[in-house]
Amino acid sequence: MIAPTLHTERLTLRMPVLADFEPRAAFAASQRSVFEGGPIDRATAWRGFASEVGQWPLMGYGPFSVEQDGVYVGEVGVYQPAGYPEPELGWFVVPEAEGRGVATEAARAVMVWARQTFGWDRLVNYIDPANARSIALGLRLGGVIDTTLPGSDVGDVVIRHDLRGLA
Amino acid sequence: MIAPTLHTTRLILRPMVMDDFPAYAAFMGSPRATGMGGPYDQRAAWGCFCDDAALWALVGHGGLMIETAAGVTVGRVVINAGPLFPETELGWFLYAGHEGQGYATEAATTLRDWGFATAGLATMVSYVDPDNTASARVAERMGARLDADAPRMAGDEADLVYRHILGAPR
Repeated sequence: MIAPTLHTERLTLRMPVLADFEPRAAFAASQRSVFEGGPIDRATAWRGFASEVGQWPLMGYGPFSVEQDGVYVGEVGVYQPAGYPEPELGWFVVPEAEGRGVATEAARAVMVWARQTFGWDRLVNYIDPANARSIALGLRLGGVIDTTLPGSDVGDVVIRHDLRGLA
Repeated sequence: MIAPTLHTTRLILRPMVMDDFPAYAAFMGSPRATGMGGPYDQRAAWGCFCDDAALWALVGHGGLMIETAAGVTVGRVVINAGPLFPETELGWFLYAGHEGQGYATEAATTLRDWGFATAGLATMVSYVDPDNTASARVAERMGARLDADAPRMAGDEADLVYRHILGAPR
């Protein structure tokens, strides 16, 4: 399957397309990707992008590209590469769209979709402990830090989102 | 687009599923993957596996698993594209123990012809490590010709590049 199209008040969430790779590659090549193991070269960024998109046909969930007024503003989705303990809720916003609540609004829609589609009780975030902005966003979304859960990397902050009240 | 299922005389080329990953990762972690830039660890193999599956949605062609009529998965064939490749690539591999039966030639020819007929491609190339004589023979049997001037991937300047051309004699 591929991603369904979801609509929120201001945003459209849709299946990624090839053109969405360019802002990802730019992010990966910049210092902003330091919490994701970056800066990352273009070839490695492609592997990351493609491997996430490939989750859709293989697993039935994955990344949604996010548009506002027809313009690509980032990505929010459910990520589970090999070795992840469980599905992760993740996000990425282009620099021009930061500070508008895009990730928050899109992440809420993905959590509702995940609950309705799979009946999952929870999603988690795996966040580098120095990535204060993403940690703050995870908490703003209603998540709680759970030190009992394993991360995707040693030292990750794991934020647990209870989906049971959704949908 | 969604990956199709293609049929050859003896084989089924079918979409990849999660259950294919253990064998795929084992191949990518083995010395057999040396000619493809490997061996790859589990995480890198996951990237390759999902990349093959993702291409269908991103560029309209991609990877298919090769299965025998008996239901045994024997390898993978792919029409590849994206920023890692100078141009559209036709690639293949067989798992250990399934060589020498013409499976790669049969699968790659069918996917190539699908690429010409259905994906609208006019040419593809196969990058072959100079030590990989088995794959070179597959490309030659398919009627592909060496293209000395084709651009190579960085770090793989010594690759043999076999060019497949729509309408070329077989």
